[in-house]
Amino acid sequence: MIQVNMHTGTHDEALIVSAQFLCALTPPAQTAVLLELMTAEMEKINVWANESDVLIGHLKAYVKWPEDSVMLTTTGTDVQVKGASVLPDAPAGLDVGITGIMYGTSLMELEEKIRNLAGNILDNLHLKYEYSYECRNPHCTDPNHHHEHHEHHEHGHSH
Amino acid sequence: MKVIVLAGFLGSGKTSVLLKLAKYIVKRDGEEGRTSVAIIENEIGEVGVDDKILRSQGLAVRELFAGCACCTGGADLLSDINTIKKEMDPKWIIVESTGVAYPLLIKENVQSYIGVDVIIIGLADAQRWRRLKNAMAHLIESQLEHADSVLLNKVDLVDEDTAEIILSEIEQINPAAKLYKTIANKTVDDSVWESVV
Repeated sequence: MIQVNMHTGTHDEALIVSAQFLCALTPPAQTAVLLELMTAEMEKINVWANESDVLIGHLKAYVKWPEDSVMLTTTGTDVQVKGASVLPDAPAGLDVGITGIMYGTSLMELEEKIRNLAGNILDNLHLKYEYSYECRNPHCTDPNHHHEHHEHHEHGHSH
Repeated sequence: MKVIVLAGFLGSGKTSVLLKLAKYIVKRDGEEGRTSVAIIENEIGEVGVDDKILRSQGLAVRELFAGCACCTGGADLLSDINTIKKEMDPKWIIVESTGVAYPLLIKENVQSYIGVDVIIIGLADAQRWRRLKNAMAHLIESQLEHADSVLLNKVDLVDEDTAEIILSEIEQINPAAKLYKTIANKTVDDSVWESVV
């Protein structure tokens, strides 16, 4: 079961949501499929943001594996894909991270968009997964810091 | 040792500028046995993206995830700078601030507690200038008004007249800054870096 780790935060009016997961796909063939899916999902968020008058500060992602890594980035228009090269700390399989920083929406809505972005990709790859929500609130009483989605926002997360 | 704070809104091209600037410094100031430049990458959010591309280029990078260096991550930034100074003693440390940081706060903090010179390089996104200026003038102006130099980046995505109008607006925000037009994801002339650092 893939664990999709979700994190939320704020800075002034900026809303920040990240998702990260590891999966055992085989590069490069399956990596190319994943990148296509990722690009399509990021474009969907661009469309939503433009239609909803949400300002995308930055929507960026990385996909890394032992032999290479790729970055994807957009500020609301096209999604740019940038190649990197070998990274010394790349794990076996694929390590995927996505961060959305936006203005003019709610943390809950942004979290839903980023969660769906990751979920749609994994659904399309027929992989099983679950979400894990990390709480950075010092007043949180849950020792595992794993919250149901609706609970997560009641803890008043801050950057 | 000097510290450069790279400031500018999200998506303005800070990481692309950083790559070009770091390579220029390595070429100009590189010495056998001494690190010429170290990088502190302050990313907002728990998932670092930009550090991957910097590391892959062979640069010495420390990630600062404890918060934004202008506020909650300020103490960690000082600690990182001190550690880098002790362990590597580079000629330059470049701090890529988060796209929502106020660079003057970082500069004051570093100068007060570490006592080194700090240069602020501000970036403005030519393509999104109007929209960002309308939506969040305070943050955009704060990121540029105390900069020693301002790079108007992505000028290839606007026409020449628009670029000149933006430059004149930036000049009103910060009359003392040196202004340059750049396309950081393509090439930046060495003369720009020579003048900036």
